[in-house]
Amino acid sequence: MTDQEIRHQLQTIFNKIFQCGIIEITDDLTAEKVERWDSLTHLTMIAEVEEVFGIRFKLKELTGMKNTGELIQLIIQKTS
Amino acid sequence: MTLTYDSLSFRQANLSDTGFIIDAIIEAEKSGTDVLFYTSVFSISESETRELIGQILEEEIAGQEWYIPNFVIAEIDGQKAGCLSAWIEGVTGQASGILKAQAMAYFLGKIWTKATDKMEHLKPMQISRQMGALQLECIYTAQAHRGLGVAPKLIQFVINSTENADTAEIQVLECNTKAMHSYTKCGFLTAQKASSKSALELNLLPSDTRVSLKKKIKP
Repeated sequence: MTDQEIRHQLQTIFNKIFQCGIIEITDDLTAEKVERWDSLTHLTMIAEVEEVFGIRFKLKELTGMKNTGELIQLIIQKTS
Repeated sequence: MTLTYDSLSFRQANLSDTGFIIDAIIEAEKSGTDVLFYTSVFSISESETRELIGQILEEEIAGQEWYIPNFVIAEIDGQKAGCLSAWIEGVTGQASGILKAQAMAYFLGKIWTKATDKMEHLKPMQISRQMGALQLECIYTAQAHRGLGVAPKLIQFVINSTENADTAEIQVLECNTKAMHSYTKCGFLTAQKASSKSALELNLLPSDTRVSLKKKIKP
């Protein structure tokens, strides 16, 4: 799966979960920049990412993730 | 009786303090009542809650309150008298609430998923912690040492030891009037309140209002 395909899928997931218009998927995108991105929606988003991409994150991977760019890199690693 | 700094000592917590820290977290969460958020929301017992906290402490997740190196222990004559957890919000790149929720969801699994409806009732009470601010949580004084002013001295010690933040923040449930009074005496002022009537109606928390108190610690 390419970086572009992952970003496209993530945009669909983010728009569905955070429900605040079209969210542009950039590497430095974090919870601070999205109004409805809180602890509950974050976990819903992670569960959706795991389901859509057919992957499972380890706790250390989740707690070590600093931004959306790192999420994309993890998805690339796990789907390749 | 009031303690002087000479009779108190402070140190960073280590693994040997785990039991004391778990006691502190449980007592701090109860906010002086018998209602424990984790038992009411997740329908788990207090001993299961202790186990959950222990598992999360073992994971060593920096940037949130349940991380042993973030705890400062106050001792009187070698006895543990109190503690608090202190960290700079956002220091690892993620909000502390998200880090802690990820760990809880990881260990609780389906129990977490089943509780999401209850947690939705608590959303209106969420107050975002200020990024870059010194956060103080789990402020606790052991029963035998209460009334001696341990907590204010602990708070002052941590503030004095902090170099890279200009604001300190404490979040507390409004029902915890003793704690609110103590923090106000330390110079903290109410910055924000957030309420959810159903939190109290459903007995999820001992209060329907969370308060964020802040203090400027650098000019």
